Amino acid sequence: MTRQMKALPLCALALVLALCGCGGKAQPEQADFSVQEAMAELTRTASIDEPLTLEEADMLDYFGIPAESMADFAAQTCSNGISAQEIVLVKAADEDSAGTVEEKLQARLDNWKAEMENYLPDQYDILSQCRVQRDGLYVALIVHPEHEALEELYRGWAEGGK
Amino acid sequence: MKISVCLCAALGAALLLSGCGGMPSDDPPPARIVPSASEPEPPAPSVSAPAASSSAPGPDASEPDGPEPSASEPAPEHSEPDPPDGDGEPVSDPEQLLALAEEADWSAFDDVVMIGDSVSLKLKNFVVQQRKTEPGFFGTAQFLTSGSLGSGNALWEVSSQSVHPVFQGTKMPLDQSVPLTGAKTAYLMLGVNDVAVYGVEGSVENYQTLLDSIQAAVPGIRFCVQSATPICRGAEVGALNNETLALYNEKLAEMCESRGIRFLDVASVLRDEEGFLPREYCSDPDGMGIHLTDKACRLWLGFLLAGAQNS
Repeated sequence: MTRQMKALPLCALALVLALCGCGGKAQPEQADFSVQEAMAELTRTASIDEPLTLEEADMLDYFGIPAESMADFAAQTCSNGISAQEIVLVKAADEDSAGTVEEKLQARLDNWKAEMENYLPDQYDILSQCRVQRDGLYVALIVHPEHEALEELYRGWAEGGK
Repeated sequence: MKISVCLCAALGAALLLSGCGGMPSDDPPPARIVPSASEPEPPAPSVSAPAASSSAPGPDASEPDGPEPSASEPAPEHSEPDPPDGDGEPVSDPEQLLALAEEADWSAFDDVVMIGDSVSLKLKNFVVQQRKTEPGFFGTAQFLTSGSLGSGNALWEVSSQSVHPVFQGTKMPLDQSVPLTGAKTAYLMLGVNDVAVYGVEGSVENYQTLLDSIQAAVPGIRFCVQSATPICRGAEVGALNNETLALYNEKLAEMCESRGIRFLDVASVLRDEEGFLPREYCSDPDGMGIHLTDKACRLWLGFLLAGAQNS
């Protein structure tokens, strides 16, 4: 056996060892999706009653989210003022902004629950089951009687993009 | 020699491929679900309110005469700015009011903030919707509304349980949020969340305290107090009934007259001959029976516009 042939297994072993180091911890693929397309799918699945689509200025007024914090967004709320139905999807401008958006939407949810707790208990029950979700730059608040199905749909967007 | 070359190649490959892991500091944080905060704190009213009234008042409540009291000297203990003039006959015909709202110049409402509960929240959303196709709709009026707001709980300290309206996402008392709006006139509609808890007198008393606190924060502000709107037939519950609301509105009108504040009887255009909110104006006739449809909102705004045009 030539020296080269004897060296080959060593090289292969070294290569295998080197490649093992690449596995590391499995990192989730960073989703990159259109919040408008996600919103369209969500509202096709379970629409919002008397929907009011919120514009950029409304995001500041209703939630305290300034325009510069958002790279993109899609938001609808029920306009009757008493139904717990609202979907807010935001792609933040950067990591810091994502933190801000997350805080603002959490505050929105908490304040809404406080309003409804002793006022409209059935709406409070819906709100109590809903939560703010953050996936990197994406932040979502899905409030709806069918929030479970909508969250599952949203997870599909957030975890793999479409 | 060739062994060392192979080892070097393997080492080089290892160094190259170790870049596959990426820079951990560049990775986005893993997905996380933020649980709702729950801080059980008891509400802390800053004013002592009388005990809840459990019985409806005896005498029939009578409608206040027109929305505009004559200008009068303010009561000595209050220092109110001059009220807006308004001596014309109020427009009350629904068709006229709806037509008015269609062709309006809304600039009279540019420096206005609307303060109220879920009834006013619906109005806010109606206005926001209209502004998409008609940017000047209702001027640049702003809203400070919250679902279960009342003059009583508006006086509480801010807490996780308080229901103060938010201003740009932040919950704060009205004497802090009103100045931030820059409004020169505040239209208020409160009471539905008060009368069953504080009674008529207690609710009016809290209302006065609230007006005082806002005026202290914005000394030149003008107030327009709107009557609480009625309840749909079949939806009255306990002390929350139209008779109580009518008495409350009467007391509110008296309070306004004593303070030289404009009183706008919005309820007058939103009730039928028996004092109920008509079903066509009610978005939840089989529920709470107090929230309004788009048509009712348009009537309401037409009424306000007629009042502004008369002044």
